[in-house]
Amino acid sequence: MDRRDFIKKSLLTLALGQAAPSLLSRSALAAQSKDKILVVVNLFGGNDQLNTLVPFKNDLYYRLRPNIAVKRETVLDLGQNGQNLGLHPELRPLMNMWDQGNLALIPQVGYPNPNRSHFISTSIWHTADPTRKEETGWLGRWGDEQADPFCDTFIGGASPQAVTGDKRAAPAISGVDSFTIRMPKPFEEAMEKEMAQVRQGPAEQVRQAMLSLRGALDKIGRIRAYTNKAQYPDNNFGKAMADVARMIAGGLGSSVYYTTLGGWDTHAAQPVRQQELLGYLAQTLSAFRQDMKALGRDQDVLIMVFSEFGRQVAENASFGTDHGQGGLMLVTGGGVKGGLYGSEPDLEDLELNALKYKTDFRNVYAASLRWIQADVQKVLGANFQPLGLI
Amino acid sequence: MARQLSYQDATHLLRRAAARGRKEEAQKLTEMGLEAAVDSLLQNPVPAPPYRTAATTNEKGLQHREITQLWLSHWLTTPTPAAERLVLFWHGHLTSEFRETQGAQAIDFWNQFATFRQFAYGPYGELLKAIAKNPVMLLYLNNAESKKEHPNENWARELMELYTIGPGNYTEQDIRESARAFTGWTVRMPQGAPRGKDRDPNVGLEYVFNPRWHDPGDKTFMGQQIKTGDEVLEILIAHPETYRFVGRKLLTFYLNPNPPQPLVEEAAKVFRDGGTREMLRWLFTRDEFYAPQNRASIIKSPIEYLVGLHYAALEGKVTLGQKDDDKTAARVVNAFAAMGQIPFDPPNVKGWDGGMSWLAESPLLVRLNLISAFAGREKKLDLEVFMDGASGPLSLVKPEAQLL
Repeated sequence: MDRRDFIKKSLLTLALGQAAPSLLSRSALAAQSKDKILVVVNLFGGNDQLNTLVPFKNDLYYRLRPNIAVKRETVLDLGQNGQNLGLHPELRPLMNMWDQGNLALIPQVGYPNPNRSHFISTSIWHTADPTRKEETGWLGRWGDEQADPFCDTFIGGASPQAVTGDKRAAPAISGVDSFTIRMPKPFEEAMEKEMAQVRQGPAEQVRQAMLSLRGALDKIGRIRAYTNKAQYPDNNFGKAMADVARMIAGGLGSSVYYTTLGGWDTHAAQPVRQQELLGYLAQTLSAFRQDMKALGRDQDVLIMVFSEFGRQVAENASFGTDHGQGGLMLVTGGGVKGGLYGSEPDLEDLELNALKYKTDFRNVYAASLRWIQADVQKVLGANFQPLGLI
Repeated sequence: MARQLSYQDATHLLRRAAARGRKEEAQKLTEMGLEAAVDSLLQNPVPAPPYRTAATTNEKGLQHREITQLWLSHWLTTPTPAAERLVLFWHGHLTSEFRETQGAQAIDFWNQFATFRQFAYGPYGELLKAIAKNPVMLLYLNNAESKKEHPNENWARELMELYTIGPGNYTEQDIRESARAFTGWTVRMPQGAPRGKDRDPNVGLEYVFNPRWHDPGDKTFMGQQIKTGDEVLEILIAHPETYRFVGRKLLTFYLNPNPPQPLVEEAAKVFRDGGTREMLRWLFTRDEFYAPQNRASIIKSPIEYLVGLHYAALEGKVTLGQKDDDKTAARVVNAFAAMGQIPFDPPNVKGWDGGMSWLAESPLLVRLNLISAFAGREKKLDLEVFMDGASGPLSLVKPEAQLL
């Protein structure tokens, strides 16, 4: 919106007696919409697409992976819309979503000039800038425009680049139940006094961190009473997503929740490891969707799962796979148009033993930004066409 | 003439170099003068005690708790604490993750730390060569299973991206070629020692070259014809970017989070020509090191925070200020996990990000909740070196307590 439009709109708002102060202090397009929620899950390490969404009718797949291919008879057939692909057996809890038409599978997602470093590729996904000039996270840039410090929340130890902007980062809450302060009175009083004293440089940064913490303690304290209606797997990821559900139930008010599940860097002994992780992922997503249904929010919540890259096609000598390029994204939620957004990968058209990317991740991001009514152009720097997921 | 070292500057030097100290030590450094004080801090490390365990090979969690306590107690009691902060640096740089390293036992990690200690202050190339053949590293980055038929690229990639020249200075082809050169670099149990599930957790693995797994052919690495992994290492050790990349990292650990580029260039030169000790000596004797903007300019990591705090409280062991019992070791590892830094177990191959990420809401809360155990210790708590502006235990809630 240019300046003239902005003034016109502001005057109109004033005339209608709407909340003018927030409009004057913030751009109207950036305002947070509280009814839709985006949950982002970062699978750190590089999940192998080919053993997740399996080309089980392709003999070449079995020839290239004599030791680690998913056995044909165990693959979950996705039927016609899945073309010739099927899911890893541990993903059975997702089949329900597929059958109901609200699981979207997007193979070979990546970006131009793929980078095979975990850290560089993760940073590219987090900043949404393959040229690597941008330092702020894509959701961080959105968060910079919001009034509510809890417009987004990271569930874990320290907020990653994706939710770090110029002015702020998402609060990092590792667990709802453990998030309480235990301090004798004199210490608490002393801390209040210290927090009131402005400092300079790093000490001031620490003081600001203490102030954020105090704000978060108040907020989280109020949602502790909410309990989950579904059964989550007993591991860190299950707990994190159970806490997201409680935060939503308790009305924390975040439009974005972000969390991670690591361990996907399967250079060796891949089958056992990946199987375990896929199980965690599917059971947790299934429990979370049930919880949202019980809350009556399933239609409002979109879950987007990504990994920094897929893995190479031919297996290595340690029953594993090395870093590749295009990888699988998965999007689900009551309001999602399910299906396969792509096609069976061409295993004969590889780049240094890796699948080429077919869909730019920013087209998927664009859809998720639309979901929370964020300005795609502003956040991603260009008008990426949203993939038709919603 | 010897240069002077004020008491004020001595507290800064001691805190930065060793992450622990008390008043009388700072006073002693002041009496020595600058050069002698720096030399006394940069002495060769006293060896850590040997690790012996009654745990079985399956009790990895117990083993991990044991070496965690053993290391922290060593840091708290050694006459050469600066070497232990440097060991922490090397551990966070030449990373291995305890929980992700299949086939390694705690003794192997303890041996890896001994290697860090042995080569800590010397030429970086010597340390790198030792770590390239370190069993934990070979297992962690999967080189131990790398065979000529399908080389595993994990070690080759991180060697260049994280341990030497940094991103942008090599190609995917260089990674593939060097991975071929390292095939056959693997591990074994010493001759005669039982292996697999019968392994004695008190006997460490060793490096071995397996010629049957090695690809003996010619490789082109960084434009040169080579055959072996040793040649790859020599090329990287001779590369000037290695010293810029690692030297810069040392400056962020010892000076401030954003060292100026001209200083990085100068540091890289000293680091390359003289090794790590010379670089630290150069840094600690510069006026710049004592400039106000470089004092208390680094956020303490959880390990530095707890070592510093326990030392200030005259404790020779990390107990979190609570009764020392059979649950202590587990409590300590849990606290480290919640603060985001588990000794021997960095979150990924890049190590800990550090900086303000240590003070995100949840980890900061854990730090603050630990303080109350040190309440009421007015007489025994010496915070002179631990933090600037301290006056009694209540000072622990000041922002300055988080700064190194």
